[in-house]
Amino acid sequence: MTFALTVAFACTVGLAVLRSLRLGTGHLSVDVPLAWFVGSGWFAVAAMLLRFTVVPSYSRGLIVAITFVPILALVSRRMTTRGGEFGPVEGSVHAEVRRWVPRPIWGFLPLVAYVAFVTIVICLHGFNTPTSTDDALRVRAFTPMLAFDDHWGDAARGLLAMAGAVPTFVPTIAWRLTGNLDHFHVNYVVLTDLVAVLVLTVSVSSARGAPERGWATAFALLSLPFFMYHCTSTYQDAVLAMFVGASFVWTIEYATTRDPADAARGLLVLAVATMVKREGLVVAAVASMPIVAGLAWQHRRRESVRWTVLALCCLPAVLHLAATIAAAGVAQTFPFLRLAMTRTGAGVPIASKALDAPFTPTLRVFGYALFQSGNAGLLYWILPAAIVLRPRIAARRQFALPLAAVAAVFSVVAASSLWLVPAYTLDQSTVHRALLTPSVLGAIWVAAFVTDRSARCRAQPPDLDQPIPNA
Amino acid sequence: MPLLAFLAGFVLAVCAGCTTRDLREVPLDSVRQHIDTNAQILHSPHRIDLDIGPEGAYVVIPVRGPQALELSVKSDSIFTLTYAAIAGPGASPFGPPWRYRVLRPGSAVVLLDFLETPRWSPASIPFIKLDGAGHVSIERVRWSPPPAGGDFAAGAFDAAQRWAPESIGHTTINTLAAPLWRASRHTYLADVVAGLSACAGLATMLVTRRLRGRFTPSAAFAVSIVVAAIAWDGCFLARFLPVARLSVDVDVNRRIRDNYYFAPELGAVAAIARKDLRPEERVGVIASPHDWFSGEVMCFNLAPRPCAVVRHGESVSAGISSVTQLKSEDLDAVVSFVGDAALPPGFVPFARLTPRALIARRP
Repeated sequence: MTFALTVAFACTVGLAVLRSLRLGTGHLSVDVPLAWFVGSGWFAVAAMLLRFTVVPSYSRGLIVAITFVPILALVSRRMTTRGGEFGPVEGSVHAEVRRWVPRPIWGFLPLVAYVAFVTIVICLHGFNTPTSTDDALRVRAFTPMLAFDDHWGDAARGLLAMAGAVPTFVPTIAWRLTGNLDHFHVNYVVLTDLVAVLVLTVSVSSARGAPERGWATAFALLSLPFFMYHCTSTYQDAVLAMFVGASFVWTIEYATTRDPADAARGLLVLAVATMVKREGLVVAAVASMPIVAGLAWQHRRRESVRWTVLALCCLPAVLHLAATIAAAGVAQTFPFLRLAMTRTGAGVPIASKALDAPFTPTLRVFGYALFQSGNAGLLYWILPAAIVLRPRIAARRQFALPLAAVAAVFSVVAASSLWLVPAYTLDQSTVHRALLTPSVLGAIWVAAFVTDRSARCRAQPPDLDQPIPNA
Repeated sequence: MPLLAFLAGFVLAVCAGCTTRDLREVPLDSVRQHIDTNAQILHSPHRIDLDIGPEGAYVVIPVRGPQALELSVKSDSIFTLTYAAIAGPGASPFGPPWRYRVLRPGSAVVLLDFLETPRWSPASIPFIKLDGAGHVSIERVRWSPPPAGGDFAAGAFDAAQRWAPESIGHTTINTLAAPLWRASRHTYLADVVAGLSACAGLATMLVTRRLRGRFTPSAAFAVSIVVAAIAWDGCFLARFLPVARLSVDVDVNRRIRDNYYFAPELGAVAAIARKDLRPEERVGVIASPHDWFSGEVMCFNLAPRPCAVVRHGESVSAGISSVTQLKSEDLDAVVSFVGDAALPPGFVPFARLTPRALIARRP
């Protein structure tokens, strides 16, 4: 299984980046899945940027160099500085009450069994299913082969800009190292993303004394049928949702702890999410707004916020934009701007009519997608019910800030579905996939909200008027 | 109580969906006389022999509104058998949901549940599309007639649709089939489960009010979620597990061969081509003009070999997303899904899976 090389390289790089930025949590069960996401992003952006600006070919040596840079950075940092972890330290709000068994155990056993069973089923089905859907054949699962081939004509560069760096370069790590192209590595990467996000949700919550929330989150994610299905296809919509979801786990943590390190982890994963599909940039930018607003509010209250580290966390997104422009040009990098200009009449009305559709039927289809199609399970029934039934709790900062992120991402999808490309909503060609990301965020939020009662039984909540030690 | 009632309803619905059907013999002579097909029928006293060309064939069995059809068949090739109840002209047999079975060389008894197809009615006719080339012999036909009475028919249709497995094909991209509680009235499962969850929550609220003297929306919400989760996830697993591929085989070629389950011929040829073609060979793929799928899947699975889909009359062929361009004279090997006739001059088949699927090289 040469794919183990991919996991090993990405996780090693990711751990080195996390430690270099002092964003490790001290729990391997948390840091390893987080490192998978971060390492994937580091590897992908470095490979793409170097390939299209500095080096003439995508070689084995380049992979090794990309891997060793963060490791060397970590070593040099260790040699030149000591102490001063950015992450949790003794006495901080989330370093103390590790608890792994949910309570009541009899209540959570069926839920844990469901999560384990469904995860195994998805992994086996994804492991066995060769790529067979059109967009995956033509773009998402095809670009890694272009990277392996390393001949970048105009058509190939256009596909690269559509797919993004992460889906393109991460599956190629083991291919390039061993020289063998195994088509199923694209599937394995998606499945590893799934396992990583599930482990992350459970381990973060458990490490901070609320395993109930972690298991409920995993259960909620695995109750989204269309999301589960696309984890077994090689489309990248579910992958984008998983990256944004992994970041959202930290958004919820940040809203609870007000620890800027949690915000930084969230922003770092969001920066990687910008490298998944072209939509990733828009979705990640919108999802980051509540975090940035929270940090600005902390700054205004004269709480310590280390902007340099936060800026470093956002840097991969900028580098990815630069790499995409270098590879495919500005027009391919920002197609949404062109589309939005077309729709507002500011640009040349190319193919505008093809995107038009009457509003009422489009709205009806959008409502069907939310409530009746079953693609998001019963999430869009439960989410508003949760807010209506427990409005005071929903308005608390720990839930309001993440809810703002859910609302922001949902608004973008709604605007896209109802205004930007209504024809694709009416024929149901994109609306269900576009809703995957807000659905994943919504599921994570609902799980955190529902298990709030048990969360209150864990550690002492932070005193929100006191700055977090070392933050 | 609402939860118990709901679970009882689910159990009853499951039982309704699991009832064995009364299969009755259809005399083969009667089938032979009234069968509608574009395949050539070869004369044989004890069976109906169909000779099917590279474009495949359709077959309409002369019964009306079958709940199920059991065919005892023998084939000498690989076929994807699509089945659908057709109620009128112009309807597509490919769904969604698309219902299909796979015929492999040899004998098989195939049970086709027409109640699971979306347009079934007591007046519909069973339409079968055989995608492949070769011979299929129908040796026995049994059928389950439609339930007597409109309500019984609608009830049987609803139960079958409710528990029908998810249908996954190469066009399952944008949405899954919406689960229906009553397909005959187009009632969505999501509406029903949401309503029952709300009832369960409301009942909990009233009970806790009586026991504790105050409303507890948190408990009501929790009960609603439990009801919704049990019902929804149970239904999802019932629909998804039958189509999930749960075997473990580390051999990549075997997984490609066995798991294009809606295009078994394609998967099998891809596995052979991957084994037999050298990494540096430039490959052209010839498929029917209406078949985008075979060409692109083949080129995808043959990567990193340069590969393009060869179209009639074009001197330069394009690969996936037009990234690769190959001239006809530069091709080293050709994979054809339309038989020998379409092979470019000078190519000789060296591996043949079915009469229409083969691999050829220049000698």
